[in-house]
Order: sequence, then structure tokens, then C-alpha cells
Amino acid sequence: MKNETLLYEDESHKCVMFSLEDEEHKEHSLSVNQFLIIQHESAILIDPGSGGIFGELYDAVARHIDPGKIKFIFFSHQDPDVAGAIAEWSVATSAKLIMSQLWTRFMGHYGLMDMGRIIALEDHGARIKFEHDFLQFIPAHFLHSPGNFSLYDSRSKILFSGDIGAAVLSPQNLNKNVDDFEEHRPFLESFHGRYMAANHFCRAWVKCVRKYEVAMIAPQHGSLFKEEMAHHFLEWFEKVEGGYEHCEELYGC
Amino acid sequence: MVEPGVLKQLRTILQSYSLLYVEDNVGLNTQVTALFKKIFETVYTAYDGEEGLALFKEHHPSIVITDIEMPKMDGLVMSKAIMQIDPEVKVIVTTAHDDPDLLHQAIRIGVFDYLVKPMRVETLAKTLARCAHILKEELHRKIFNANLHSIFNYQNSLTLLLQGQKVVMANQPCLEFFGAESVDVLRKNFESFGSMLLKHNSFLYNHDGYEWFSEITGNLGKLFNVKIAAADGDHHHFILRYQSIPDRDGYGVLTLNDVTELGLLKLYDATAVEQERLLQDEKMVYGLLEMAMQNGAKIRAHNLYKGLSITNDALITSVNHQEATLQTPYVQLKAIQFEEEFYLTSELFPVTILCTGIIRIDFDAQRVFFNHYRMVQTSPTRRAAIRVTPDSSLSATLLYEGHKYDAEISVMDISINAVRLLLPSLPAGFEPKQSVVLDMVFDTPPRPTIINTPAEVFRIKENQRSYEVVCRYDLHGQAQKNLIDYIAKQQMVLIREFKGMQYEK
Ligand SMILES: [Fe+2]
Ligand SMILES: [Fe+2]
Repeated sequence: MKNETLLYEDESHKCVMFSLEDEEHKEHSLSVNQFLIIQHESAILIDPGSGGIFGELYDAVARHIDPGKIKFIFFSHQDPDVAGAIAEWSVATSAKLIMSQLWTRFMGHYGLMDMGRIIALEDHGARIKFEHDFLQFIPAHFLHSPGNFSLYDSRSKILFSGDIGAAVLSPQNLNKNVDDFEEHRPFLESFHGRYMAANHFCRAWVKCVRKYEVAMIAPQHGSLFKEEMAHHFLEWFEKVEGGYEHCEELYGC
Repeated sequence: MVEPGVLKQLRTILQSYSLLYVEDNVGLNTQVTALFKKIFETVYTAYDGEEGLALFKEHHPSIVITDIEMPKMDGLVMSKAIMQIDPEVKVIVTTAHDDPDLLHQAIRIGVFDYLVKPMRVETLAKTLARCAHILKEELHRKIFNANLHSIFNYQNSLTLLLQGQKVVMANQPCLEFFGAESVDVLRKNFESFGSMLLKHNSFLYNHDGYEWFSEITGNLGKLFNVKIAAADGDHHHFILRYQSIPDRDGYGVLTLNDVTELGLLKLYDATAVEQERLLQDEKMVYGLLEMAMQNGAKIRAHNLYKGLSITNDALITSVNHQEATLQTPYVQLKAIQFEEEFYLTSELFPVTILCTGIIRIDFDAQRVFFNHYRMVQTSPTRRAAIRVTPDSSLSATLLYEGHKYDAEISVMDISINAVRLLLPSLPAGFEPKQSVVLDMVFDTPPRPTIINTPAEVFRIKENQRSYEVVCRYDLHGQAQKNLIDYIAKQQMVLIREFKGMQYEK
């Protein structure tokens, strides 16, 4: 399958990336990724995207696991390319929906009023344990959303970084893999320079991330950073300047 | 030579502290500094009182060891100045003369200890070990006190400061309850705290892979029901809360709030028959509400608007025999106003509470006042799948044993795996577990969507002039997609309708 990449697999654990695009955006592709983690008989779906891809993603997920077995759906933040289909997913599954406490009451605008379905993350994040492994929700606030989390899977050592690490239109996105960091960098720069709040937050996030052994960084837009590329990325991201550093240019008055 | 074992021990307890060492004898200073560096991570060295004081002001070490007779400023003058800056610093003075006068002066200043030179390593080691112990106690007391204010109603609760699973501090009520004459005794007893948590239905206790400490640390801030026997053997019902302390890895405050007086224990462990009887008991509900209020428990208010589940966090802000007050967001209050009732659930409650008797709603204060409540065993709050009341575009027909059921059918609500139909009468022999064929037509432009599926009769409820029939089905492919799409859209329509209602009086 062209739109599907197996990121990790062992006897009881599996991570899959789907790269389904909203029809409307096809010519100026945003290179959106959705992720599925399967652990034994249950699953967690990450950033399932907008209503436009619901049907396609549902079928893609169903090829791996009965969608009824999705226990959690994690929304890294509130954007429509992340949480736009929350109504469809809440009808289609009985999963608990995990997101920052900042966004729970806004979900009514996307068609969900039942706070009983939502697990609201506090700012410091949380951990879900399963046997010897865990999923860690790592704070990523103001990068870009003020209520934002990345998700680290201790079994696969993959960091699902949400909008952090996004690169739109990079030629490296064709095979979904960063092979040449320097070539990819300009595409990272254009996005992060405008979307991230300030370098201070970038450094805080890297500090949190470095507590864990990261084998791969999987962003919501663009390509995967594997092994060495992940380290290049963290080193680069620590130096990223954001809105705060360019406030005067941004405001121009 | 110092025994490596002793050094290692000292290092484990002291390495995180910093030391200032002041001694004018260069040879001795070099030699002893080298020894201290094996114990402390950070050692500052000075050769007279002035230099010592300057170093102290700059680095604020937690322990100071100083000679007395020194040029520029003597050790006692320096110690006095240091202790004025920080009275909690541990100052150890050393002197070559066993002079009672100097000893008295040192005591008056409030130094931690007084050692006669040449220092014997065993004596020094003992003094330093004592020093580490006291510094740690002081740190614990500080953490304890600093965090007490954040604990709800702590005077009456049993409060413990834990480091990992070990008790480091405990308040007086805690000592009294466990019949421990000192914190040291409690520390010992608490090692088996897990086995003190008694078995009780839905309570926190060690069983089947549940281990109390990983439960509370895995669910920070969550409230738990626990049952513990007091020193006199009586069983007490507590609400347990554990909060980790920010920036203090491994430390946490455990509080146990005694709610035995509310007499709720029997409600959790009741047999089905007993529970039936207890459910009628309004006093019990009163107790549950009181318990939720006392503990500031986060509870949930539930309503249904045409099948649309509306749920929000809520707090009981007052309970008395005339009325109870619930604080919950505006949206929930609107739903309560519409339904004239609401359900309350909490992980602390053994059952769901249905509240009626709405006296008034204060939208500005976000509160609803009510005076009737009862426990219910089945409630609409535990729905796994989202159900909506359909709009008029949906019609259904039923095929039973090859025949079309020809009386008017209306659809009451629909979910991804079931539909509730309202039938004026039942075909002969129609009963649960039988197979039927369902035909559902959604009048969607530009052309209608049709779902045709086998289904099973799941439940039949007889009303006065009609029957409610729940049919279950298992859809796949496009039919499933279409139904998800319809329910999600209908949900959105209902949300808009409900929100529109918010602007009406
Ligand atoms: Fe975003
Ligand atoms: Fe995004």
C-alpha cells in the first residue's frame, strides 16, 4: 500500500503510519500522516485528521485491527487537520478521546458534547502503562498550539511529535523518509519559524524528550526522522527561533 | 587511613550537600580537603574567616566546618555572621584547645558541633552522619509544611508525607489513628500499609495484580475509597488522595479523610437484595453527596438531549436537609433546565444518582439547587455507543418471517449497532433473540440512502399503547460508513439545536 508505512512490529506490538490526504488539498499536498499503535488486542489512534479522510482511514485501520478495539484516540492539539473528525470517530468507536484540557469544551464545534468520552490531559502530561511498556504524553505547549502534546511509545521508541518536525513540500516527503537533513532543513525552517512560539519552548521540549530513548521521530506532516536524523533534528530544533524572536518583523508596527 | 566502607557510606548520605571548609594551616587544609572531596560533590576551601564568609555569601553551602583561631577573622565571628544569614546552616567548629570558654561561646552562637583537634575520623564521621540526618529531616519538614496548605481540610485528615512508599512525616491525627507514639514507630508500621487496606467491594486494596501504591501513583489526584482498621479494631472508611510534589522527585502527600460517620460502607459491599433496600434510602444518597462535597470530589453530571449525551464535570458545593447545590458549566445547566433532572456519577460512588426536584438554576453562579435524589442501578450514562434521535428523514420497515410488518413504525433512536423502534403492536410470536430484516431509508439528497441488514431482536418493552423494540445489527463496508456519517451529522444537528436553545429564555 502506497499510503501506508509499517514503522515497527514485534510479536505483540505494531506501529503503522497512514498518509491520507484530504481530497481538496491534493495539489498543494500538506503531506499529512495518521498513526496507529496496536498492542495485543487493543489500539490507539493518533491524530486521525479531518472528516474528508474518515472513511478511507477507517478502512485502512480495519485492515489491521477491528476499529471497535481502538481504546484511545489521541489528539495532539485542536486543529481541524487533527481533530476535525472527532464526531465520526466518537460514533464509530467507543474509544476514550485524549486531548489537552484546554480544548475539551471546544469539541462541541466539531460535533462532540459528551465530556464523559474525553480524557483531559493536564499540562504536565500523563503516562499509560501496559505491562512493561508505557505511552508518555510529553508537553509540547506553544509548539505551535498552547495546549499540545507529543506521544512517546516506549516499546517502539517512536516519538509521535505532532506538528513539531512538520515539513511541507519537501522533496524528501516523497518516500516519507529524511535521508538528507541539510536538504530537508529549508522546509523545516519555513514552517517552524512561523508556527513555533519561541525558542524557549523548543528547548524545554527537547529537554523533556531527551529523558527518553528515541529511535524515530514521526511528525504529523512530512517525513520520518530515523536514528541519526532524529538526533540531527533535536539538535536543530533546540536552536529554532519562533514568533517571540521575530516579533517585530511579524507585527511590523 | 579511612576505611573505604565508611567513606562510601558517608558519600551516599552527604554527596548532594555542599561543604565549606575553613582552616588556616595550609598543610592540614590540603589534606582534609582531599578527604572531604571523596564525600561531598562540592567543597569550597578558605584559609581565613573573611575568605570563608565571602565564599559562604556566594555559594550558600549547607555545611560549614571551620577552625577557630585564624588570621583576619576568627572562626567564631565568621560562624556568627554566617548563621545570621542562614540560621539553618550546620556549622561544625574545630579547635586545638579544649577550652570551655570557647565551647560556651560556640554553644551560644548555636553551632551544630564542636570537635577537638586532631580530629578523629570516627568522631567526624559520626558528626557528619548526624548532620546529614538532621538536614534531611529539616528538608522533609519544609516540604511537608509547604504542601500542607494545598491539602483540603488537612487538620482533620490523616496526612503523611511519603518518599516512595516510605513515611517521612505524619501529622498528629495520623499517629493517633494508628496508635503510634512517634513517627519512627509509624514508619515501621507503614511498611505494611498495603496489607492494612482491607478488602471491600470496589475499594482500593491489594488483590489480583492490583497493588495499592502503583494504583495511586498511576492515577495522581484520583480519589479512592479505602477501609482501614483503627488501633482499637474498628473499621473506618476513608477517602484516600495522593498528590505528588512538583519538583521533588519521589515525594508525595497522602491524605486519608475519615468519612465513617456517613455510614456508607455497607452500601458498597451490599448483596443484591440488601442493595435493593438500600437504594430506597434517601439518607444514603445524602451521605454520598456529603462525602463528595467534603472531599471536593470531581463528579460528573449527565443529561440527554434527544439522545445526545451531555456530560460535564461538577462539584457538590453544599448539602443540607433542605437542598443540595451542584456547580457545573452553563451547557450542563441548560440541559438540566430542559430535562428537569440529571444523573450524577463518580468513581467514588457505588451507583449512579438520579437528581430531580430542581428548585432553581442560577446561571450566573453556575449552580443548580435540587432537593430530590435517589440511587439507580441502570442509567443512560453508561452507553458505549453514541445514540441519537433521528430526524424525519429516516424511516424503517421490518421483515419478520418473510412478511413485511405493515403498521406504522417510528425510530426512537439509532446507534452504529442498534436501533430502537416504536411499534403499535407485535406480530404473533415475536420475541427477543429472533432474526428480522431491517430496511432503513435515509431521505438524503440527491438520492436516498438505503441500509438493508439482518438484525436480532434484543429487547422488547411494553408501554401502555405501544412496544419498544431494540434490534441489534452488525454493519460492514459502505452501509456502516453511511450510518456513521448519518449519526455524526445528526449529532451535529442536535448540538446546533441544543445550542440554539441556549439563547432562548
Ligand atoms: Fe496544527
Ligand atoms: Fe497539523
